[in-house]
Amino acid sequence: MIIVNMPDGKQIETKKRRIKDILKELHLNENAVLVARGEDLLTPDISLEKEDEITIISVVSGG
Amino acid sequence: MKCRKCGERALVTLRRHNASFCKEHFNEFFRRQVEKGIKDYKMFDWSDKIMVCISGGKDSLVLWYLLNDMGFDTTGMYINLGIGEYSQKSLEKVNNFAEKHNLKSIIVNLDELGHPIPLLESKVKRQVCAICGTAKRYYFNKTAYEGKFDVVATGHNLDDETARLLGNVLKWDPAYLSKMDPNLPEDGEFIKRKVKPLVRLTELEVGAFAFMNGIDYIKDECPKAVGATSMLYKNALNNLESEMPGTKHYFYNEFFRSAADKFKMEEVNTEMHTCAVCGLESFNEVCSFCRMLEKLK
Repeated sequence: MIIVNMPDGKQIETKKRRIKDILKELHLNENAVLVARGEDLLTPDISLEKEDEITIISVVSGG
Repeated sequence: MKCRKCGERALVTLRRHNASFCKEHFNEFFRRQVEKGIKDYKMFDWSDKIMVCISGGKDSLVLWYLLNDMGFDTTGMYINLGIGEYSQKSLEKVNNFAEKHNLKSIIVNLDELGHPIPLLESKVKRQVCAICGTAKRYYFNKTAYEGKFDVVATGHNLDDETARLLGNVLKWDPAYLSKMDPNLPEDGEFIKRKVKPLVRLTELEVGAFAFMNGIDYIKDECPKAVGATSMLYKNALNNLESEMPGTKHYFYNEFFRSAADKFKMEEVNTEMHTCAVCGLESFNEVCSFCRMLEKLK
């Protein structure tokens, strides 16, 4: 399972491997979030290894 | 995906440019977009003294970082709005950033001045974002005037500006549509030129630049901005952008190419006053900010 750290601090797990599919599953728009694995940003085409942990960073601000 | 320039693994994909970049070439792209924005809209030059409005968020810190890195004469200006933990955290980010990069900053503290935003919100019958906007504009203008700055720069990006444009178009508001230019000229003695050098870059691109370059910003949303209509417009534009990459860029740029002229306000020689309360230049006998403060009495 892939561990996903969400922008609100929650942690979820998913069986999906490709970033694009994970974003789709979470109903997140790829223009509105960045996906990081450690210090690395990941593009939507990247497929993760099982046991990978990623962090979703929201870039949309309301001000 | 591979970097368009060097073939290394890309860290970011920009569908609107049909391009992906590694860190080095994304930074190069990003900087070029800022330079082009400054040049195309004739925002400022090397002789100008620039006040950068800082919130502690990604956009303003990225702007401050880049303008300083490009060699411009910048001073950050931060307003502590007195919004509890959010303001404390953002001030900490600003102070740490200024110290790390050895930058000059000016801090205005609304708590110390006796009118933090939550107090104004409890006394003034207007939306809190409008109250906050009036307070911020007043102190931006006042600080820029007193500090003899030539220009005031804010970190508004393409998403901010297209969301604002969409909101103004939906209302067909000519007064607001006439003020969409990312380089607004000075007005009288008091109001300095206002510019938006990040206007060619999306929120995602600014966020990616901050991440790649270790710019530590406040990720929390202002608790007072929850439910802001700008978020609704941004979501709608992001959905369009997903289906039609380049929509935001096209919408924004075509406005200036095809429509902005139609909304130019005729120049009116408004008689300026000196605010009877604060003594600064005002359109009325008492400026809008001082009128708002009167509600606290």
